[in-house]
Amino acid sequence: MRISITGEASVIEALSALIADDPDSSVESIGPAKDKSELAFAFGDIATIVSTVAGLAKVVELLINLKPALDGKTQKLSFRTALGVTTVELSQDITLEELHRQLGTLVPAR
Amino acid sequence: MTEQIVQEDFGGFNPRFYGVTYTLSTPASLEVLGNYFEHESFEREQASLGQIAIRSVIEHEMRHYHDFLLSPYSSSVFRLRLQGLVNGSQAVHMLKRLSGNCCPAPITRWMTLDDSARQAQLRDWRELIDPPGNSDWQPVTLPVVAPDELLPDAAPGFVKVNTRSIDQQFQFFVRTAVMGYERIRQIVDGFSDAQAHPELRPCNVYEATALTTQLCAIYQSQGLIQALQLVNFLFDSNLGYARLWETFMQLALLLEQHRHPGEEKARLLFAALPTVMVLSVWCLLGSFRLEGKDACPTLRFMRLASHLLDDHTDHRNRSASVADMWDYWDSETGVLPWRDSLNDLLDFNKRGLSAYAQMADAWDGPKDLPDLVQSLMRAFVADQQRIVEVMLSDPDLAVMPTRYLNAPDGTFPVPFAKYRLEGFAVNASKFDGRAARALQTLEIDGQLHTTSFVMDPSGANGRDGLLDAALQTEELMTWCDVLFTEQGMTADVYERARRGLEQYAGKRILLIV
Repeated sequence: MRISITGEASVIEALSALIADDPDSSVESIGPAKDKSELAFAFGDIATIVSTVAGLAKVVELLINLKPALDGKTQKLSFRTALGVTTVELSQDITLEELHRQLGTLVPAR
Repeated sequence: MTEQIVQEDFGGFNPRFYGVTYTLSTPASLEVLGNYFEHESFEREQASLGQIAIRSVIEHEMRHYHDFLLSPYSSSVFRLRLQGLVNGSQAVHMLKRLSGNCCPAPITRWMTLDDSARQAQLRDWRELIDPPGNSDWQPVTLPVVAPDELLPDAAPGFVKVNTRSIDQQFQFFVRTAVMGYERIRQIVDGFSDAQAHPELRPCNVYEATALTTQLCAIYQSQGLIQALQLVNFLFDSNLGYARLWETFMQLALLLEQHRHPGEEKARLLFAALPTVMVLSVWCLLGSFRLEGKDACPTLRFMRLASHLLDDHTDHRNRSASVADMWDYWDSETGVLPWRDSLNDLLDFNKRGLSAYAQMADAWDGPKDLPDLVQSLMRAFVADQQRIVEVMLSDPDLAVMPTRYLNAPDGTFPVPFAKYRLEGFAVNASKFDGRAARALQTLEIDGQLHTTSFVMDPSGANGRDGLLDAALQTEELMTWCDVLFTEQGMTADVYERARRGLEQYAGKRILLIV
């Protein structure tokens, strides 16, 4: 499935490297987040990656592998699939189950 | 620097809501803001950049609101948004009567996908979710259109469409809404070479005025050390708005050094802030309607920078009067004189208000939508007239930070203020209905709590109806944004709108990724 993930540029770059190393996933595009219509006073640069992954389990696995790159900080990531969008606060102590629960709305059970 | 920051995003301005929005991601942020307004003294010495930013976010966002009213360029976006709302809402209304079981979103992207790209998207949708019954996903019919064909402006005026078939009416409304949205995208992206100069984006010019106003507010209300923290952040950061702000500052220092010969640049930083405002506000005064892409704030910035680098010794660049400097720069850069641009802005929007009144008269069926648009347009025209008149009669008051920040109450229009609490709620039972209106509520231990509330800090009476219209318009515009474009919004707002659309239209809204 195709999924787009938006977050702080450095985190998206780290995620991109993980996806590139994964034989079951591919990166379709990566770049600055498109929308600049809202004048938001923020202290971070954001980027978006569009990727093809095998399914929810693969997304969760990638995010768990991303945790060491967070350097102890909590990062907010926005996810978008054909079925909807959601935001997850990715922290060091987030669990596999919690990620499955939060991202579950993007991939409904058949 | 990052560890000092309590959150990434403190507020935003998007004409989807006719007001400003403040985002608070922790109870501590709300407390910092609350304490700042309730107590005369507060902890200055230990303040982090995040706390300093929260205590000055109101001045920052207020400047965005005032620039939105003053700038003919951003005014174009508001008018196009209304066009998107009127046509988009009617397309939404038609959706439920169309054949098909889903609608792709955003429609602007779907329309530019060729057949093979559409088939690939359908495969992705099938992989994710089974279509209803034993059928396949059947999107509502929308033509394939080349991206260039989406850009021409819709012809002005109103067209009766009720003699056409439902499909034809839908496609007519979609096409006119999409034209509006595509023009917004072009205006928002700007017309300079983004690859060569990624910081040269219109939004970053608007940030330059807001950041400069915020810096002056920090200096005035919190202190020099606190203001220097934000200055240091701006000089150290690689963010686009910080880079462009620094370039404005370098230009201002170039002029300031002629005002204070022999003085070191570092000592002139705060003295140069008013000049940064004069430079950056001038960049916002182009009229897209009359000058096309030459009105783009980034192109104006490049022309002005080029002029100043060649001609910075000329005393007319550092006149004591804002109006004199702008007159000189207009003539040197060959742009439309700023007074003409502002007068045309007022005339154009007054004509727009009349046109929407005519539309309401000619409207068949319930007039909720034209009434809503008229109500908002009337407020917009009145607020704009008020601030543009100040600008025309006394530009220093609208631009020079000390005068602007200390202007007597009632000088400038005051917008509605919406507060979004991310991940926490506050007890709403103490809200007096007049002081704050809870927008989203939930019950915790038998008490009403809210995660979002709105206030009217203007103190004016009789604005309840306008606030209702602003909130209702925001909801409709959010629906249209989800359907037509990829306008940024938080996931919770997006999902609420998408579900609302699905329920209303009786069709699945499937997103293009």
